Amino acid sequence: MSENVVHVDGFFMRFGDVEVIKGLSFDVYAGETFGFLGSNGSGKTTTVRALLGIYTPTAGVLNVYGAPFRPGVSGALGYLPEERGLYKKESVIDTMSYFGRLKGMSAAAARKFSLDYLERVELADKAGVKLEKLSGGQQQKVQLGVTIMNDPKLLILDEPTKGFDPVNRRLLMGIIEERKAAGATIIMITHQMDEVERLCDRILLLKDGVSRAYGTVVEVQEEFGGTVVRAQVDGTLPESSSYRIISQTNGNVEIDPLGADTTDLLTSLVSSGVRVRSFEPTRRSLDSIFVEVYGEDAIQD
Amino acid sequence: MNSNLKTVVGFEISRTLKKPLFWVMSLLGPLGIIAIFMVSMFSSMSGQETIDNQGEDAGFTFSYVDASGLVKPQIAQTMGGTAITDPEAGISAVKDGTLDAFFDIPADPSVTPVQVYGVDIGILNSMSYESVAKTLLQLSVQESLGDPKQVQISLGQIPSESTIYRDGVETGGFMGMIAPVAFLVLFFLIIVLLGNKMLTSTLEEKENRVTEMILTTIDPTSLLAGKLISVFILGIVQIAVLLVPTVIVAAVFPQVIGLEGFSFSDLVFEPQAMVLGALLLLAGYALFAAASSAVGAAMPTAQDAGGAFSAVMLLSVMPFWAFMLIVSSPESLAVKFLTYFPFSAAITGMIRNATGSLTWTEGLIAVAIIFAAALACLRLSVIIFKQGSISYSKAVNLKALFAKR
Repeated sequence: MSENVVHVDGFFMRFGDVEVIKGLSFDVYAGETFGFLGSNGSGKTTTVRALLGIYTPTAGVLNVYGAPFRPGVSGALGYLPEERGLYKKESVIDTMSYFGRLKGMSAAAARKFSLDYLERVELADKAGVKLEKLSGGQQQKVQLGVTIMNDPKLLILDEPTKGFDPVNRRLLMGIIEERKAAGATIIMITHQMDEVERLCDRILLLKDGVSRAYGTVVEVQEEFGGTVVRAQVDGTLPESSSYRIISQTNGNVEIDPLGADTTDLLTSLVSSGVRVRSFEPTRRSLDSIFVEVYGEDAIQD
Repeated sequence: MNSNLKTVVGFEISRTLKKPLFWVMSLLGPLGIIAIFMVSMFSSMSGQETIDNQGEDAGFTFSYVDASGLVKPQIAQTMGGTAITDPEAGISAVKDGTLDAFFDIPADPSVTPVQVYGVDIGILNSMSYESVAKTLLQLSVQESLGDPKQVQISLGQIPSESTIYRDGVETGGFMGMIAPVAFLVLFFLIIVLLGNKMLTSTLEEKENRVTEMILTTIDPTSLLAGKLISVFILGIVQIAVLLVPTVIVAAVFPQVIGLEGFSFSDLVFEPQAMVLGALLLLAGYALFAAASSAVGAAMPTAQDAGGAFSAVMLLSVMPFWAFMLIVSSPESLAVKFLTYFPFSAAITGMIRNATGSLTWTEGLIAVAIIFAAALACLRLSVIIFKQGSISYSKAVNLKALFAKR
């Protein structure tokens, strides 16, 4: 990894009597895809808003490209916030062109990009239509287009797939992969652990304003148990001091061997009379780590 | 102007000008003026016709009893009137419809009213009976005077010209007041026509959930300044649409709007009054707009913002209630306070500027105070907008906002 694009050090955020972020520090490096994870209310959006200058931090350093973020000065940013919306009374092309201009594009370039993008997402015939006349899915496509205008070197996507239909989710993932291939730095704030495992180089797990895990996906998996076993068994697997059951549903179990050799674990299970249908040593899933850190309720959120 | 500011101004202006509602609202005023003009023209023509008729024939038959002895029978005859001696007979003839009107002229018409009786020919037309009775007396008395000069003077038609000096320098007098008053009228029209637009200019981002996108794309000060500049420009467009027909009517048909004898070439433009008027207008607009946008940024909807906005509006127009005091006692403590209190300073200053009681120094101090307050309000507006607009459906808790800072 090279230079850090985002640098957060000793960040505290207080709203009235409530301390939302408590001494958070992390870096995001150029060209990496960074997963910023946490349950609802853990402080992810607050951190991003403070990073982007919307909130004034109570204490700490929050830098983008070496200095506090300033729109139009800190380099091209593509930000897809959790709260989404555009100027509903305006036409698609006018709205996109306006944002393109604000992001530093010439009027002609903004218009050309907008029309090309609308062609790509099959909305070319809607260019002159007011946004409020578009379906929710079509509005999402326009919002994505605005986010990636002027070739942003830093993309911050807050709950990017929230409310997206499968078609738009695929479009979004395609765009993320395109931007990643083009060398952009991407910060994803999400609950979708499969996407994190597939796309992210490094992650940070935030709980109650404190970092609970930070590093590459493999480092975090190691930190929370390293190798685990996914097995299918008949009946219910009994509790034991030689292993820990991470999850167990309808015969599908995820077992932490507590550092022991997995062959010894298999021998132990068979000798205790458990009928084992499949047995696969693997790295622990981020999903199960997430459940362990935040509890089942967080997943329900 | 930086490029983002220009982009915001361009976007805000072009999207508003594209809206049919903007033009409908803007053209309502001129259409109203044209309608009033047409009605006035029609009335004026009818009135002229009536007056012409009055000199010759009233257009109806009437009889009269003249206890004053002022009426000239030949004039009455020309107008279609006949002298009688019995008022009761005249009234009876009107009642049974054999006579259109009867006038009972008392011994002293300057004290005792002339009694007019007539057959109903509609409310407006029936009023012409009184008009004819008065004209009959007026023409009879004028003939008695004989000399046209005496007639003109007796009618108060006395031309006069004034030359007024301030500190030994000739002032424009009444004609010098008109242009500075125009700034006051402009300011009043702007806050009345555009107050709501200023208020809602910061609500739109919040209501459309576009705040975060926009705040990470453009500096909020540029965004708000761009919005306020564009509202001002749109206001000028709207006022121009409103005023151009008025000015045309005033220039071409001054009598229709009661400006007989008025000519734009008579207007006097005093440099000091014009400069101060323009500065007070700009500063006053900047403060009103910045304060309105701060209110809009703090509240989730226009409805919620109504109360606080009314307070800003009342503070701004407060000097109109003290108009007589401002004109008659410009040196009083109360007027001094109104001159330098930021929210009342613009209108107070403009009234004093028009009436010639505002000095350069006083005017420039007032302008500086208003601009300083406008900048403070804009700064406040930016702070509230940044944090308040992402509260989306909640009003901003100012106490918590500033406690945190």
